[in-house]
Amino acid sequence: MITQARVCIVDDDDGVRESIASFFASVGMSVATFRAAEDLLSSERLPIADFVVSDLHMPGMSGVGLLQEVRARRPDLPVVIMTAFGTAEARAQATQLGVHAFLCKPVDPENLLVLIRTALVGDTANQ
Amino acid sequence: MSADNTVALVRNDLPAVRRPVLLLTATTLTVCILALDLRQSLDGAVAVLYIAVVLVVAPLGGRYVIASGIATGLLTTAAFLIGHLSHPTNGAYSRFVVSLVAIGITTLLSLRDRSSRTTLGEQARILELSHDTVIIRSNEDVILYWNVGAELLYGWARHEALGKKSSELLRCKYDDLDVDECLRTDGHWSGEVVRTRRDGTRLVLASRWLLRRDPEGRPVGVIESSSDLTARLRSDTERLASERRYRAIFDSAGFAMWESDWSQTVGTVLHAAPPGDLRPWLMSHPEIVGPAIQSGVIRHANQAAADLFGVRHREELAGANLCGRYLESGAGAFSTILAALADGETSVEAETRLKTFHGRTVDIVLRVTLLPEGRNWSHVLVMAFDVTERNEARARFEQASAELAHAGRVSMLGQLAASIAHEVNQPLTAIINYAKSATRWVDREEPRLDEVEKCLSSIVSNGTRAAEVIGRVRSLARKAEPQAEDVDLLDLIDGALSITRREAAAQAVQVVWERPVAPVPKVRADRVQIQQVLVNLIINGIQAMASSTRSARELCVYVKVLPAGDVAVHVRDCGTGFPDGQGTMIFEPFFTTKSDGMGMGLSICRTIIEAGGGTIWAQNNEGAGATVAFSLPACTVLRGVAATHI
Repeated sequence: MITQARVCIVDDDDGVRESIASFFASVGMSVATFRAAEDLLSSERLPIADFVVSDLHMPGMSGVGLLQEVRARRPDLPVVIMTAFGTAEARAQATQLGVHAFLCKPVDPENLLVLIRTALVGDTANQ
Repeated sequence: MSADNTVALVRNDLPAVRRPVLLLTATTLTVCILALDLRQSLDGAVAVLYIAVVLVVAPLGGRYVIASGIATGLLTTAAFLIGHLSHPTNGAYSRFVVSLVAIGITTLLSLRDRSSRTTLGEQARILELSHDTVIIRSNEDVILYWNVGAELLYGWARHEALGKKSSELLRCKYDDLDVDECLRTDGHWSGEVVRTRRDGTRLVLASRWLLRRDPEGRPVGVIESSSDLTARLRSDTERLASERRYRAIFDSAGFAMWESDWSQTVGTVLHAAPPGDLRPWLMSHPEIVGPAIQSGVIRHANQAAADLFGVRHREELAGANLCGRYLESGAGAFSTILAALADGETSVEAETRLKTFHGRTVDIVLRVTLLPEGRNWSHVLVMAFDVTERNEARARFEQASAELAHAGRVSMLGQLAASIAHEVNQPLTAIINYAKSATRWVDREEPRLDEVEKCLSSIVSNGTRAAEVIGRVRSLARKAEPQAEDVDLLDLIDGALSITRREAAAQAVQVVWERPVAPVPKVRADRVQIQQVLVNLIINGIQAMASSTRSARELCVYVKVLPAGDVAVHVRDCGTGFPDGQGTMIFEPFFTTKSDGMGMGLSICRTIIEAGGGTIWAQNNEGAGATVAFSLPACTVLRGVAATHI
């Protein structure tokens, strides 16, 4: 069930992170939020996560760094990266690492929902 | 009286060497007279010769005179008894009695002479002790007596002066006819004489002369006493010259100066004031200042004072008071002056503002000095320096600085536009998300109102956050007069970091804010301008690392409380640092290391910090990068805050 997808959100901005989490929760998803990339990597939610939404610039590990780590552990886990000031270099790096989407802030949660549905439906279809 | 006699008169003490000689002479004489007296062959009053013995020992003193009188009387009696007791005759008795009477009279006369000599000797010693000169001259103007005062003043020793003619020795100048006439008719004269010292110096003397006469009343010379007028005349001349100099300085001074009589002023103040510390009382009773000013009268003023007050002639100020000239704001300064003088200070300075007789308002610095000759503030010298132009220039400079600082802030905000937009967009994004989320929660088959409530609450908090960012930007953009207030630097650093957050993120700079847990003293400063400085330093630090190839881009902000109580804010980057020797130049106007920079940012920072009584400095770190820091004086030093890196 798409509505029961387990989504992880990583952003150091409390407002953005928690508002997206609230939105996903309102459509029935299981949401876990993290203030830093390192928190997610050390979390028990990572192995069972269906989708990851992460900010690019954060204190400590960046969104691209997180993507790299996730690829090493969960090569199939879709990761969306959001940023308010993304550079072409960061976008190219993320694309190379197989980012599901590289979005510019402000990000509409409806669009994120579409992305998640698309990704999870695709996965289901593929399976 | 001969010169030798005079010396003998003065030196009454008998030299020790003459005493045995006199005693030997007296003894020999006594033996001889006794031998003669015992010879029965001489039919005469031989014992009368004993008076010679008494006279010989007379210079030895009264005791010797009495002893010799008694001894010779006894010897006379003994000789009479030996020679005439067996066959006394009338002639022998009469010679014996005559001899005793002669010896007795001589003894008494010698004692009287001795007493007179003692008195004269004491008087002569008094003459010696006198600081004035005492000279005794004969009719022929020959010096017979010359005291120590004369030795000291004229420079000749006594033995050099005695026997010389005083007119030749001292080259004395005076009106001969007048003096002679006075001496002849009155027996004395007093007046000024001019004489010459041994070294050639001319002396002006106040002299008193007394005509000496012999027992028959014939003039035998003059005794004179003189005192030196030269020093007094010189002192008078110097005082006169000093007064002329003071007057010349007073009149020609390029600034306003007037002398006032404030004796009524002090009376007015002290009469009204209660016992105790005058200063706070005067400060809280400005109404007393008016009457105090009114009772201070100008004695005289210079032309510069007339020019300052806008009157044509300085004489117009004499007798006037400055009531009505001081503006209300000047009362404080006058209170300060009165309180300081009442505290015992002799000179005090205060700035005030007054209105000229033409209505022009001028800023003046008053320096008030109590002159030494005055009593109870009767002579007060007031110097006034017109600082109107200086104050206007300072005001223009402060206005220009404020405008420059504002221009710097506007420029800085332009530079931060993207960051500011981001800081506003973040909460706006959250608001939209929460709104959509709330809609979803409501639209569910079983609406979750608790979640809706959470969403609405979050919308409010994020809206507040956005408003705060906008408020911060508005305060930075505001063009207002700098206003000093007690400022918490920690809050300002929070705000500055918030505004520059996106800038740091864009440059992949990690900002470390070592916010102290312990309280930090507040500083007295303009909040907006200090925030401007903080933002400027943070942006500079971030930009210094923009071109750095180092993987670690860290900007560290920390606070220290310095030993003197000042609070210092440090912004440390790990960029390229300053080129050697440019650590101080970076605060100069138009100094920049950026190709697109004006080089005004740090210069404005320095102006702001120094205007607040603080210091700003920069130095390269031991490792990479540089640290720029500033300190500001604390309002109050909090106890328990160590002077260390918090």
